[in-house]
Amino acid sequence: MATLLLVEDNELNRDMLGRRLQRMGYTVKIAVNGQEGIDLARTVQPDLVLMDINMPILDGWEAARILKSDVDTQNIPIIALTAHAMTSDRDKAGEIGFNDFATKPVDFPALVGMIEKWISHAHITG
Amino acid sequence: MLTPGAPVPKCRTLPIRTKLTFLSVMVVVALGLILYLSWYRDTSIRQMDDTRNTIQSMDVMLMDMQRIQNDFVNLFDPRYLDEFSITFDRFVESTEDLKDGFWDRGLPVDSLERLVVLTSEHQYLFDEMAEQLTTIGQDESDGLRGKLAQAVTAIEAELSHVSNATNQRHALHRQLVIMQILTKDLLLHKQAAYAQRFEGNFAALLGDVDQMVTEAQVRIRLRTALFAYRENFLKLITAAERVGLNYEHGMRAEIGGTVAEARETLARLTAEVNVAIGLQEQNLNVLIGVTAGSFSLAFLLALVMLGRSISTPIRNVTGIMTQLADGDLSVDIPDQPRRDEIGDMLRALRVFKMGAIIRRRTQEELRKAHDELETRVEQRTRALSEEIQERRRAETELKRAREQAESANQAKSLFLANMSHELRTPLNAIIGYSEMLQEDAADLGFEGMTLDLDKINTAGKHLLGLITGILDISKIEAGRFEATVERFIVRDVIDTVVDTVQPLITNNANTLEVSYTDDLGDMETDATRLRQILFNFLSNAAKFTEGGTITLRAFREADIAGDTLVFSVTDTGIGMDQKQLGMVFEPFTQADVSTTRKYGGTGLGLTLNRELARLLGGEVMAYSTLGKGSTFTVRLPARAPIETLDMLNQGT
Repeated sequence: MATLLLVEDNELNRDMLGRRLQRMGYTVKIAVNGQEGIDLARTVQPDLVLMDINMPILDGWEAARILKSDVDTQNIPIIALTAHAMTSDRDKAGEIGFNDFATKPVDFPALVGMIEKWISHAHITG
Repeated sequence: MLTPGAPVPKCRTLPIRTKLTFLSVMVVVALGLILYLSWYRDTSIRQMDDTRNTIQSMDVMLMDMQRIQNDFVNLFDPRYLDEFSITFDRFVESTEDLKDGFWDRGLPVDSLERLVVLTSEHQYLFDEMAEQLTTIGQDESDGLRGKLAQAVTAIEAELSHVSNATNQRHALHRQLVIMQILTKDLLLHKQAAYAQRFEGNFAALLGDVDQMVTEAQVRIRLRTALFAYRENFLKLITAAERVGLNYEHGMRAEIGGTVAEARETLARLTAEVNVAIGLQEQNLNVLIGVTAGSFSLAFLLALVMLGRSISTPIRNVTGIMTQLADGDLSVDIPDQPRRDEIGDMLRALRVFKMGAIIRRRTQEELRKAHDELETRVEQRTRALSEEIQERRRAETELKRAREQAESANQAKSLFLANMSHELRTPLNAIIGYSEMLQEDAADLGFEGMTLDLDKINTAGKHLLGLITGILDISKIEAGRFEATVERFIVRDVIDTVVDTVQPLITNNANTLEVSYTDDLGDMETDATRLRQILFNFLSNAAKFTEGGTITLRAFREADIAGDTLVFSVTDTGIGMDQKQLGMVFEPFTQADVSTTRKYGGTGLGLTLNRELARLLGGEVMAYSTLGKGSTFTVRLPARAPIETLDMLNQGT
């Protein structure tokens, strides 16, 4: 089963989402901020990253930019998780290199569909 | 000229204009008189010249007549008689002319009358002379001369009877020829000496006849013839002497005397006429001179008087005017009842003075009023400036208050936005965990827990919807609303919305009907917001309709006003009354509280729709009949207006 990296600063969300994903059968690695997320992504090399945007130390935008500029990690699909429902955020996300965009509160079945789509896509291309 | 009833003024001054008119008339009359006199003088002189000429021509006529009469006497031609009478008639005519002229011009006529007398004498003498000359006869066939010739013939006839034995007949004949020559000489020279010589010759001839003629009968007849001759000859002498054998004798001398006197008279006349003419001319010249002089004098006098009568009062008036102009209103203006222009001026000046006095008084009053006004204006200005300062203070305070209010509102909106975000995070957990528990409960078969967990989940989602709506509205209010304008196909948006809303429709056993025209084409606006608006309308309709039909209609409306897309959602639900309809777009105003409980929903969707439509340059409308259903319509411009974009961009 695929390995997911969940980068989320909020403990409740992190716990809830992490557990629900594990139940779905994914291996879930957890990071609490952008920096940790980058480090983990480099070492673990997950199949997909779920990245919160509003985080301390290093926010989701910056972390994603770094991951997409690094040769080792640039092929890992990243899905943004944000409370911002703004379209400008969606555009910004596209520019930076996020592969997809999910608004909180997360519609879980839809998120799972999105994850599956990107993992299989990465396997085909990768 | 005077106004009837007006008191007769003491000083009757004629208007200057009238005076000038009088003066002009005077000048014209004087000029006319002088011209007439000059003309009369020239005419008189011309007439006098005519008279002089007439007199001279009369003198010439007299000389002419004398010449004619001399010629007549010498040549004894009857045509001279005609010539004389013609000249004489002319002379008489001239005399008559002269007489008329003399009478007309009052010249002395004594000499002229004398001339007339002399003239008639002259005529008489000439007539008589002509008669005498006729008696004498023109030639040997006429008058005394004819009788003399007959006598000569008779004598010659008798002489032929005389025998010429001893040349007696020749001797007699010779003496007869001598007698004839004497006669002719007498006629030619008209000298008395010839008469004496004739007598001698006749006596000798008569003696010879008695001596030489022997025949008695012949002698007697010869003597008779001779005496007849002598008789006629004596008559001839008498006539000739009567006529005048020369200028010193007879009628010729008389005529000469008459003519001489006539000529003298003429000369006197000329002198008299000359004197008269000179006198007349002199008189006329004097008259002209006197007239011109007197008129000039009168004119000068009148001019000086006029000048004085104008200039003195004008000087006075000027003085008054100068004083008035200097502002001296105490100047006395004489109240003379002058009736001329000066009087008018004085009257005008009086009026002016009165006006000036009134004006001065008015000016003083005005100045006073002005001063008063100025004082009041100053007071008012002071009061006003205080007022202005106060107002400025108030304004500043107001501005500060407004700024405070604005910043407070922004702070509120910002706070709300942040709050919403902060609220969403725990809500995410609530919704997420409740969903997770539902899954767990379903897996473990805890049916009773599933319902409660479902309630938690629903309440959480409702709260999330509320928060999202508040977030959107407060963002719009805070001017931080964000929109992305992009070009999209309208039908795609409709399809997406229909897919999304389908579960809500079927929840209440409703049917969704969608109808749109083929010309929908594409739009250039915020697709997400359009989707949101349509979703809100559709979900709202689905909420308040049960087992009914919900219709989504869309069409394009392109006219001068612009290119607009109209979307309307009609339901067959509970509908609203007018009061509810009036507040339907206000926040949290669902028909009543019970409605919320029964139908759910945040009560913010329609409000948000109105705000979103406004931001995209459009508008929302609602129609409804209680119990029958409602129709909500949104009209959006196909291209979001630039101001909206600007505002949106400002918001980001």
